[in-house]
Amino acid sequence: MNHDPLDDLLGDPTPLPDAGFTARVMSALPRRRSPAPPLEPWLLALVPGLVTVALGPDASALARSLADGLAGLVGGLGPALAPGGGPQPGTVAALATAAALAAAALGAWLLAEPT
Amino acid sequence: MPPSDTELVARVLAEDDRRAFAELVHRHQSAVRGLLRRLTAGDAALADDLAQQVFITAWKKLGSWRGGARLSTWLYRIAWNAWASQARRAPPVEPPPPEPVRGTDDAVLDRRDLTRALAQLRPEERAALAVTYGQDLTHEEAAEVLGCPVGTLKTNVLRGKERLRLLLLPAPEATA
Repeated sequence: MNHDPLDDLLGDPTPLPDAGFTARVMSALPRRRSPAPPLEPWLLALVPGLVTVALGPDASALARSLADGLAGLVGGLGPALAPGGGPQPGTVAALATAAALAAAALGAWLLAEPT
Repeated sequence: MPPSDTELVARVLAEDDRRAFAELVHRHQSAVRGLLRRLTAGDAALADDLAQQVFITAWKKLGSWRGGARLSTWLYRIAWNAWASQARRAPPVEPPPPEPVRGTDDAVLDRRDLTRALAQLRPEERAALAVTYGQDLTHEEAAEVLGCPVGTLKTNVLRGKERLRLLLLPAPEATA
């Protein structure tokens, strides 16, 4: 079998010393995505406010429970969505906000229905 | 025994372990930069800039790496895409008619000759040779990296080698 000097030359790449390349890459890496922040304080205040407006002052305890439940639910949503290729934090926060507002509005509407 | 690529990737994903990622970069930097130097026809600065982009992309998309394929193959694929994207932004000029890059009196081929000769190949021939040789890939893996059929890859390898032979090796009558 004929020996091809081209195969030797092409198949033998010179190993490149790191020479600071890894450090350069590491310094340029963006920060990892962080889990979604907990609900914004204004949103937490908004949820019981909506329910209380809909039902009156008597429902304030129920409204607080609803707000606490939503905060727990949305707080758990972030870590579940964020790691490894998940949506950006801004997306998670927007989703959380939309979900909380929708749930609060639905809860207020249900509780306001005449029985 | 050093941790495998798979173990290091798992650490990065589970613990956000930057040291594990640095080990991956250090482990694969030579192959990725070497491939890009061949793709860029020896432009070391451009190759290193692209290699940096490759590892940053890998960091962002590490969760999408499927453990079934070797990490190196996945990195080469990102490198190829980075180079192809760069080539679209600044298309390489059509190579001039081939000129011998070395005299026939020197019996030893060296890598500078090879780099200059590779620069005279068509981009698709250069890419085929770059991923097929020195990267420890099968023809199937090399074709997957370039996103082309295996037959196309083999054709480009053969054509590229023929052109390199004309550029690098002394004509038979000159050696007689």
